[in-house]
Amino acid sequence: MIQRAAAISGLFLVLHLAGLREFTGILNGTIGSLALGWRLSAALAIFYIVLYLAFVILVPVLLLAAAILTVWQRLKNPDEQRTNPAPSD
Amino acid sequence: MAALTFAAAIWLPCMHFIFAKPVSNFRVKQGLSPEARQLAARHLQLWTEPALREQELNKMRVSNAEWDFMGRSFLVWSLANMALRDPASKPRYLQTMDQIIDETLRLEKQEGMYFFLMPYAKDGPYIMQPSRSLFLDGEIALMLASRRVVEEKPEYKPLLTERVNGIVARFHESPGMFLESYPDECWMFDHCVALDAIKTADYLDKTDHSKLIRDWIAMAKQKLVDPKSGLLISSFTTGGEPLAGPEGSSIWMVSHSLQLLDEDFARDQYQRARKELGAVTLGFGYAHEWPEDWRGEANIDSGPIIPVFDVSAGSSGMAFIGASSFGDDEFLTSLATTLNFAGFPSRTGGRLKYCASNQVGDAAMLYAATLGPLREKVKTKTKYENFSQ
Repeated sequence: MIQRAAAISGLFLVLHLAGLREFTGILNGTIGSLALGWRLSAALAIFYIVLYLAFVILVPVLLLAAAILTVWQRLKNPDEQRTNPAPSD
Repeated sequence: MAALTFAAAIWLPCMHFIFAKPVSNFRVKQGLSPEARQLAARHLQLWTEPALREQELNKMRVSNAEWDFMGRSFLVWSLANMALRDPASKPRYLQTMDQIIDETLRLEKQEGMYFFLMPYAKDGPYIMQPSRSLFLDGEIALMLASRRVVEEKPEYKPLLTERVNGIVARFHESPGMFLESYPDECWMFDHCVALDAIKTADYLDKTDHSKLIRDWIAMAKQKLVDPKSGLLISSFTTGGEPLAGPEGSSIWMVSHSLQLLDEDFARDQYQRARKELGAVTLGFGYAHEWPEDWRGEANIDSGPIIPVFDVSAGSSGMAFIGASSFGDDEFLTSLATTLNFAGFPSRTGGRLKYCASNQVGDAAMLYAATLGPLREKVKTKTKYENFSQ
């Protein structure tokens, strides 16, 4: 789950740094770029919006779920945690 | 799967806290809020950098030439309020207001009224001749009047008088007091803005059109109210037949405009709109375009309708103006939370724009963040008292 969260975050960061936020004007019917035209502008906007929603909604859920699972595992198998302590540096 | 469900149940109700800011970030009683300053900085940049302005306006004009015009109107009305809120910056605001007004009048004269209208304006003749659009006349008159309320400019006085006299004459000429914005298409929004301009001109020039305003509102209450929701309808023919029912993209601004004309009716319309169209889910505020019992098709005014929650970008944007006008801070805060979440704010060098919006949308936001002082001045003082200060 953490890997998926990291992958989504990384991909979103790339799109964000590439300036795709500018294309989200499609949400009110405004073209993102006259040079790129409606179709490509809309596609870039949708791509960015989907990744953004994944970043703000899905990523925290994945991270929380990972934390919940970790806590659950520790509560479920307390002996295993004690007998197999995490290796330290 | 259970962990994911549990995590979602924790996160979703909390998510709005990430985007929520105190209402004072958007609107303050005196002075300018941080949001207003940053939005204004972006708009002032557009009017000092012609290439940037042309790029922004062209992007809007591809969809709707009206937006170019309305972006000017909302910005001038905002700057008028800002000049009253921030007297130290008044010269700069007045300069930009004059620049916008002069360029708009030049374009109207040079290109004709169709320049700021959607193409279907040419599909048929206007019923009342000579052809005039109340959309243009009303907003231009209110731009001129707003500028003069902040500080008198003698050159604009005859321009305002001419514009107002033209509107008043056509109101008297029309049997039902329905004036066209497009051929045989009349808009509530445009009527209310035009009546605001007349009222402001009365304040400025000591004329009296109170009977006309009273008569029009009485007519609207009788003929232009949707019986189910009690909301004013959005558009109608020159015969008073409804073309569209109540719409969020119209009623929020209408209720704001009515505040200057009939405070009680205005509040009634806002409260009905809030009940019928306003919504808050998990801390995020938004607005529908139509009441439940009246469905329409998504159009250029409503913007795309986001399914499931039935969110209208146009209505949600204009809801800021309604909520701000009526001091509905709870709804305003939830709307601003949604704007921070889904408006895709972009801040550079102290300037703010919402990427999911456009110049007219941001100008409407700026108006919502600054409105108040101009109306208060017109409502509560006579011109004589104003001069005696």
